[in-house]
Amino acid sequence: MTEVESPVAEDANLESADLNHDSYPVWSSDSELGLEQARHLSSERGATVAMFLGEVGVGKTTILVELWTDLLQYGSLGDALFGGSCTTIPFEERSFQSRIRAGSCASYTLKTNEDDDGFLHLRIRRGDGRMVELLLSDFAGEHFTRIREGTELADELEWASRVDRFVVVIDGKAFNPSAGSMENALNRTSRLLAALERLQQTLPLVGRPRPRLLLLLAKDDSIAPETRTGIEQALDQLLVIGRRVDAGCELLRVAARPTNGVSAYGLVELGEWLTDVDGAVTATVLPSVVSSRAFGRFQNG
Amino acid sequence: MAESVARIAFVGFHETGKSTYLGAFWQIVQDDRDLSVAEVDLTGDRSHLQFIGEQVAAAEQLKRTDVDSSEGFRVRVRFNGTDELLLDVPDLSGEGLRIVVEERHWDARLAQAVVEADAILFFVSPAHLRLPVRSAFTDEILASVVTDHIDPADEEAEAEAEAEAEAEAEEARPTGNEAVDEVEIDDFVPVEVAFESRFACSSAHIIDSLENILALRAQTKITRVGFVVSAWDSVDQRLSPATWLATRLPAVRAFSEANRGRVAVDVFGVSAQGGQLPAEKAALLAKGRVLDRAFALDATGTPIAVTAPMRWAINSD
Repeated sequence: MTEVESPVAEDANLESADLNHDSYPVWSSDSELGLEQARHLSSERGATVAMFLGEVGVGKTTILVELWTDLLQYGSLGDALFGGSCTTIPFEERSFQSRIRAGSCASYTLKTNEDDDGFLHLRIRRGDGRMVELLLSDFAGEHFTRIREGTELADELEWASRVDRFVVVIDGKAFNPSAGSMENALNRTSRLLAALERLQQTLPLVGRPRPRLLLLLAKDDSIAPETRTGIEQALDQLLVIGRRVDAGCELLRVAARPTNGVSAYGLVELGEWLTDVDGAVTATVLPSVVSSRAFGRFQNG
Repeated sequence: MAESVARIAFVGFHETGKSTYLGAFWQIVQDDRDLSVAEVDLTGDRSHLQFIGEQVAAAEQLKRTDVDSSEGFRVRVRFNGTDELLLDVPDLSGEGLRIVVEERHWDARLAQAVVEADAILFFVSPAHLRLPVRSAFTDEILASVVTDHIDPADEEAEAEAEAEAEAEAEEARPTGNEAVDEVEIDDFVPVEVAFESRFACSSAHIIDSLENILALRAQTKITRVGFVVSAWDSVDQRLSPATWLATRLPAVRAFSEANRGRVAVDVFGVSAQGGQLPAEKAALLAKGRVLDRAFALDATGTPIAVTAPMRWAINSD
């Protein structure tokens, strides 16, 4: 309760105050965050920046959508509690078609266009009580096509040097013999990993923790059982390259939206990996953030 | 002499029961049999309170509050065991919160109420919840799209056209001997529905609102938020309000839990009318006055006074 001088007129009108809606900015965003907004959020609260790499159709946005939907439906991912987001509406926009096209129609996620490039925000409270702010990239696959074709990662996406977590997404569907695209998928992934390796060589060795890398095999449910043993060797080869970027690189199999009747899997582990702040990645809600960990090195695209 | 003022912001989207609760509260304040709260100063304009209170007393559904309404509850009261205080509760329209989420700006009156409030009572209606589940979500969206495209002026003509079409269909109905074309399901082309903010699920709307409320109150160390689940008579009575929140809006519950350093949350179930209108109107009126039929539960499902959420809100200790 507050103390005010009496008397307070019964007919006092709050509208008499000199107010307009510009006085009260809406904090959250109805579109994905641009670099400026992401930088602002990061410098204010600290954030773990995750870049999802993969060409058009590999399933980057679907993974983000299903992470979001799981958090809404259950309030948690494993031990991690949903703590909020300043991009609820953009998450909902990306989830919309997959919800509306339910039932007899196959659900899908709209392709991300370059105009829609940006970051989605999640706040997660880990099982140990630590709060983690995540900035998850949702950038069009065309960027990664150009990187595969030879453009340096830092030239294509200038904020790449600020990334804490790289998630290279591999399309599991490509490994089915009938698709005839396994070799292309492996080559493309290898070239993205090579681009990451080159980026790593340009990063300063001190000042901040080295970024971590995860190979994410999306649509794992679509890989036929008889094919699995045949692709293990190929995946091992990718892991070898991945471990040149990050010695702790692992492969995570994810079925975010399985079509064969099994339950989704891999999302909890992805959430744990993204929010694993051991190694002092900047992920506290402390207002003061070491500047080198903030978005100071972001360049406006 | 300084006077204590308790400011409570009622927030919630359309038809979540904010004004109905305020009307019921006012009726109970005036009921001498209730000892939980009493009016201590009978002077001043009570016309709006009388208006909504009398509608609740008559078991009528309240009409929407205008977004620019400056009405509300500004009455000097004493809760049982408290000192006298001026209770200030603006009667805010759900339109204000809709504008925040869908049009991305604050209505000045809502913003001021949120900033100045000692506590927030966030009203949630168990009806019309849009869940992030595919089947329920699709039904809700389609219902809303269909409703939006019906011009009331055309409804009569539409009904006539439907009757004509039915008559024609009756005439054309196969007798059993005709060959009937099969519907080619593969040829079915679904209608594209473009996303709009209003189509977001209820959890997302509430989370977005809470994020903006807390951002607006960044200077407040801990914001007290009481979730009032209205029309509790329509909820499965085996559930407690806390369980209802956890099962129907798990993300909202998780948000409250995860942000314990920023918010102090409680949950109430309230039936300000005591039953469903208009179906149970006669039975409700037969029970007597508002005090005799309205009811409330605390988070665990224990019966409490209908005035208890207000009492919780003013208790800043």
